[in-house]
Amino acid sequence: MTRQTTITVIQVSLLIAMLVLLGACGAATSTMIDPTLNLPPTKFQTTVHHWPEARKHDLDFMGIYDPWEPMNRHIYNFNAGLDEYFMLPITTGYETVLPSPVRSGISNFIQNANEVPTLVNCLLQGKMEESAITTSRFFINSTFGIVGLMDLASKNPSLKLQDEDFGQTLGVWGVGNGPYFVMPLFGPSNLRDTFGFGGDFLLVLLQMKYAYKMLGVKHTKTLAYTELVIRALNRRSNISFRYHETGSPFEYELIRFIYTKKRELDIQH
Amino acid sequence: MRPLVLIFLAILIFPATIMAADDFVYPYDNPYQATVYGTPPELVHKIDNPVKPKLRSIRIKGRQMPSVFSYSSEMYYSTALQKGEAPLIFIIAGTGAEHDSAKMTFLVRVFYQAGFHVVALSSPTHMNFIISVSEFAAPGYVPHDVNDLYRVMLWIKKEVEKKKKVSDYYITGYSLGAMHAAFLTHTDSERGDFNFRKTLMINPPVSLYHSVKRLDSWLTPENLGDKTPAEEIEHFVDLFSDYYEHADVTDLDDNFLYELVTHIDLEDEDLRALIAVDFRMSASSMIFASDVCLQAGYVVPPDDYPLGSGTPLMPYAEEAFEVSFEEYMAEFLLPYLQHLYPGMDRYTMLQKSSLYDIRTYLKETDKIVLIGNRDDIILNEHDLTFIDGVFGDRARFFPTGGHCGNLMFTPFVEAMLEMVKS
Repeated sequence: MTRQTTITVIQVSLLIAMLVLLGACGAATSTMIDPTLNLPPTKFQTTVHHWPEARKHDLDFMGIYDPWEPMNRHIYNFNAGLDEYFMLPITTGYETVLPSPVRSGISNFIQNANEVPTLVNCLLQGKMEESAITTSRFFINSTFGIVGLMDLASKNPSLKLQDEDFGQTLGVWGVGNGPYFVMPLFGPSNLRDTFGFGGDFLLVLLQMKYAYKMLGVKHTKTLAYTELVIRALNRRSNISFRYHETGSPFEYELIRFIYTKKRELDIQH
Repeated sequence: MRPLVLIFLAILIFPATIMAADDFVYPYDNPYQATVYGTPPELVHKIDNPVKPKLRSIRIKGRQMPSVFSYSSEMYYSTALQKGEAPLIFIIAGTGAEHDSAKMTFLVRVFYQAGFHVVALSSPTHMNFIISVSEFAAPGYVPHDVNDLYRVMLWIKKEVEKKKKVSDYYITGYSLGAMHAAFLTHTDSERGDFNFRKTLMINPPVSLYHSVKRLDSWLTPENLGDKTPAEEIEHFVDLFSDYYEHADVTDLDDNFLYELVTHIDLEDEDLRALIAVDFRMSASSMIFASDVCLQAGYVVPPDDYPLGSGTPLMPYAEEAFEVSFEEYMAEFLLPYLQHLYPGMDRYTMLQKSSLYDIRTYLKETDKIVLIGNRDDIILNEHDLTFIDGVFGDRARFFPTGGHCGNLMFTPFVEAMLEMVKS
């Protein structure tokens, strides 16, 4: 590790530690002792059963190809823990430190930068109208929106933000979902979308590199780490999803179904 | 000339007043639409600077919990406390709902803004409550559920009083939570821990059994014809997908949900089925959680234990979804109660889970007030007669609104606050 990288890593870790402290962890818990509530085994057994049978099941349309399910479930739980004890506290910290107008500026700026990968994917899918919309958005927001800090384009109903990524592009090209896959850190996906995610990430890195070069930035690594951290914080801050909030023991199954269905529709769209 | 001036003035002023009055009419007079659609976003009661409730939790030391539910080992609740001394109101969620569901968060904000310390609790039928804190872990028998709530509320009372001055205690709840609130007030009248000043029941059922039977019936051929419940859900998924594809959706927020349900064509049968599916999903979560906590062999065969965090649960989800609440009561809850209390019978179980059980108390006390809608889908004629007879002018009914459909509608909110403070 070069000295520069070491310093960067230290800086980024300090920033994160500070944010974690600011965010403070989850719920304040009180512990109670009441032996009547220890839920000892009751030996009670019902005489009527509704046990799963091998027969064809009714909710088959909810069944998703998931050969890696046990592993996926473990990753899902790991992600939930990571979210609760790490991501959410630092996101809360981020939301505490930066006032809402600053955060929405950051959010718009990143959204504007992301128009470029979106445009690439629109073009790869041969979507000319969406490409034109995305290009217009990028130019309007980069100029009148002051380098993207304001999203003026969205005020025009015909210039709505387009949602295209490399996973969708692969889908349009006829690549199937492949097995369902829960990405560590990033959550629900499938084999195709995981590759797509990698593609989009590479595009972002290339874009960042190009932008830094254009701006003549010297310590690109420091800036790159900081930008990636801010992108992650911004992303989490803009997603209202909380793990285990569905109140269903079958949350994994529900999310798997909704994710797959949504992607299917997004690709058709 | 004066009449002319008056007419002129009337023309100028009246359209404005008529429009203002129009705004105050709840828009859905079909109770199924009201229940599903709720209050249109532009008519939702506005709250300035809505409070952000704080998340709290209680852990029972030494409690045995299945590892598949390790994420639910603490009982979560939320609080919004005033700076200085204030009265405290407990809010109990409806069937299957959590302390921070949309309706609950709304109620927390309303009562906080009205000057209350607020404590919001999940329904004892919510899986988190079952797993983390319930003594018998099989909800639906109201005396058990009320005991669990009462115990938890006492702990929370102690916690809050360490930090804040509380002038008086109040309690409210919607749907099943309203029934719990009434029973809690009755229990408190005997034990005297809270001395509730006022209890507000919002859209309560009169008999848990009668209401759930009604909801259950909407997933039978009586309502669905030759479609199975699963086919009906598939139909919904197709409708929603179709809408999602053709509407320009950018945000999947609450407004999107409202737009979605109001823009797709749903017949009364579909609306009833949708309400029943929602209820069945809550019930299946509850049934699975109870079965696993007690290892009662109802949905999960004994040989399948231990369930780990990697175990696929879809097969159980499908089974649990097929169980109606009525079946759960007959096949699981009643035998379990008989296991606990030999001699227990079906009549006692149902009676003790209905307002009839505390009828005399409800009639005599002036502490409990009730707000609801005449066209509430979980009430029948007998239930309405019961409420009118027992509560008299302590009950206030809106003509429309279905089940909790107008809960966020300004006139309903104002009526709630007025009744609590009266």
